Amino acid sequence: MHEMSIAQSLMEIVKQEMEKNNMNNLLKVKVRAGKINAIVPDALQVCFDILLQDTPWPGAVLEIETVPIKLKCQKCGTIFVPKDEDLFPSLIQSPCPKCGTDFGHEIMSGKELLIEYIEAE
Amino acid sequence: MKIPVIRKILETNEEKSNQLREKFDKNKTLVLNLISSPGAGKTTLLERTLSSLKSDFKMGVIEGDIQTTADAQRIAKTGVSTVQINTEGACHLDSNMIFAATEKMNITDLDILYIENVGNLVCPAEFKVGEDFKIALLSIPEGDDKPEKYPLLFSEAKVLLLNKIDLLPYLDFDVEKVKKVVKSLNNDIEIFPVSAKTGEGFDAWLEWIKNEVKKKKQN
Repeated sequence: MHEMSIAQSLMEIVKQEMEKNNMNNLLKVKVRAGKINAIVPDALQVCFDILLQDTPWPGAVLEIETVPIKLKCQKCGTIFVPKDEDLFPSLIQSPCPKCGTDFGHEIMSGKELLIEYIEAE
Repeated sequence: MKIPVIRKILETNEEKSNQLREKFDKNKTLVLNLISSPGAGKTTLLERTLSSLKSDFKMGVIEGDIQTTADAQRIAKTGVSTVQINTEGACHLDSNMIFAATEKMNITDLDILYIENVGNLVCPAEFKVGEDFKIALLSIPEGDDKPEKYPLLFSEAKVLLLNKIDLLPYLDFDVEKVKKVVKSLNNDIEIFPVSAKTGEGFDAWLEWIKNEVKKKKQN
């Protein structure tokens, strides 16, 4: 359950941005979370909602976009998105569609955890 | 209106971690962040490590647990100074907690500071706490499929200690398979099979620490 720590950090940034941009009412927060971070969107949503209750904008919406994993084959350099059924037993061991190598790929995306924008007035 | 932000959500923790790291670097203290599942043997490993190195180095320990001071009491028996952090529910330590703990101990003359994280294979890997290296522990009874199932820790750790190797004759744990999987996730990792209970394999681990202390002093 790391979602509460993440929600708290997120709220800190949102408050800073609201103040910096002289905004009064927060409408929406958009987050991009890579699949490797193992964030449960529902859990993050619940934690963020709890924190919102102590702010002047309890009705703000959190949108979480899960960023898929993109890998670069360590052997032939092909960049590919592993199929969901290939993601077992592990998230980052998946066969390269070109040469079949299934180990040690470089992670191109899927590790990020970013706030992308806020909507406010 | 839409306001683009593009900031890392955990940036505050990362900034704090960098500040801690600067402080530790200034004192030339080697900082090791020990991470494993509950029950993998972090505290037993620390007890033996501290006892073995006590005459060579000045060391300190920050103990992270959800509750109780049981582990800090065990460590205190080795004579090494210890600060206990109780996270009251949080599943990992973060840089704020380490900041507070360092204010309760004299860290300026330490050669080595060990941070024993909360027992958990997932979350502690995501929160930097000013460490030089993450040290992962995997104990034989946990099973040899864990690096595949929890890749983040194993891809970030500098050392993997395979603990409880005295149990290898009784369990189906394929050491070579684990080495292969972990090396493919992280080619730079050093893997030491050890038993914190019997002391088997400890020489290589202690050698590694001594060598890293030396490197830190030279920087």
